Amino acid sequence: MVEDREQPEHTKGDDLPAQRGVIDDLEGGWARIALDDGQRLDWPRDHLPREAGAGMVVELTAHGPGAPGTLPEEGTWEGIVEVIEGAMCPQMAIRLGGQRLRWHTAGSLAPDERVVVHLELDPEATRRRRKQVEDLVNDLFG
Amino acid sequence: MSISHNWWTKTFCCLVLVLGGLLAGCAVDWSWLTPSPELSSPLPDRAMRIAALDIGQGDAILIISPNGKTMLVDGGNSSRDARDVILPYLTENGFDRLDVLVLTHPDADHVGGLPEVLRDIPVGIGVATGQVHTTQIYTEFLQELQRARDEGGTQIVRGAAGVEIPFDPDVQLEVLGPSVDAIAGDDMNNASIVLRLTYGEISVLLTGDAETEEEAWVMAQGSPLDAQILKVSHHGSNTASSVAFLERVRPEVALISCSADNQYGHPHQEILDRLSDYGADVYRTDQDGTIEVITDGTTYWVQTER
Repeated sequence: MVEDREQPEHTKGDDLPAQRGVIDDLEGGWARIALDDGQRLDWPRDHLPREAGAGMVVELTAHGPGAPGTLPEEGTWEGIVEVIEGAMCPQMAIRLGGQRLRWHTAGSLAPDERVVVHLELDPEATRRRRKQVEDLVNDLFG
Repeated sequence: MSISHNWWTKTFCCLVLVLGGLLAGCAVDWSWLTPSPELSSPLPDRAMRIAALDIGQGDAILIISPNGKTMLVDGGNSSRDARDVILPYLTENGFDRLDVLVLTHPDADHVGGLPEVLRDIPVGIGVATGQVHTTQIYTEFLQELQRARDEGGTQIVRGAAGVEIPFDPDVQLEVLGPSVDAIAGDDMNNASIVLRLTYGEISVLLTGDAETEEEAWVMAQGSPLDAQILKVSHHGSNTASSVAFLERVRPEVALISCSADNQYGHPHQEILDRLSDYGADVYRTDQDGTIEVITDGTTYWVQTER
């Protein structure tokens, strides 16, 4: 009998909800990604999609075991699930290289499980955000 | 003539920390950063202070002018930097407003704490290049700047070469870069606001993340660039601080703002060697903590947190 497990919103199978951010800068071998929640992530430049550049909006998704075969080769980086004991409640994180990226919903992944984080460019969101910033800049500095 | 009192400062601060720890049950108090009466006794009343605040891998430079005007150049990485470092430093020095706030360029490690600063205290003049960049934190900065203008009367100035920014009548403040063309482009580091402050005989050059391209442009404009105090560009990256630029600046003190063991290898060894070749004393926030340079317009003193 298959147990009917309730999945967190926006998740699919072993995947976790997506995180969004922008490639803030390209620095040496790294792309510095400024996530919308204020976190920073240094992503290896050779793991970026070929057309990636500073200012592009990206979506990060985390995929559990079995998923790597279905993901494109470019734009992926393997990490390990961690649980951070917080003051209020435990928090989910993914260790990528020497960095710890907080993830906001635990989903169905277990601590120490290997995950593949996939970075995808979002040209449409990039255009929208650019327009929003251009409007602000014109108002302020016009 | 320039005198570095760093050794005395460190010795004095160690004594203060030990005595303070004994008296206060080892509590650590940031207020030691404010020079004690003993330390400041040789200083004149009208000193200018430049503080490279220790906010990790990023920039936050605070200037307190001889007439008590305040200018913050960049705001570190995050609202936490604003709450834990920038705003407490201002408060401990008796200030509850900024006369001038400058964002050199939109990178997250420079803009991170500025929305919080704008929310928390009044700002007289807000200066930025107005480049277009799509990060959430930069958008938030622009929105807070807009709110400060509409609700608090903050004056907005587009920071480009030649623009005049009222600050302190005793301090000459020059905006040496960027060019208008650079602002229109997508390269943010090379569109950094470059500032030169001169008080008496002492000059300070603040370069944001300007790389060799912008350095060359600034040099080509012909303005004097010599400065005893240099905030080294781009956290000591080898994409900046060209030989030709350092030849023009001739710094005696080089301030590098970076975190320990950052992914980028900042500061790069070749830049440390180059600064050393020019005889500059290098101070680094990752090793020294917050660094303060205090000048009376004739001499200067450097004191460090660690």
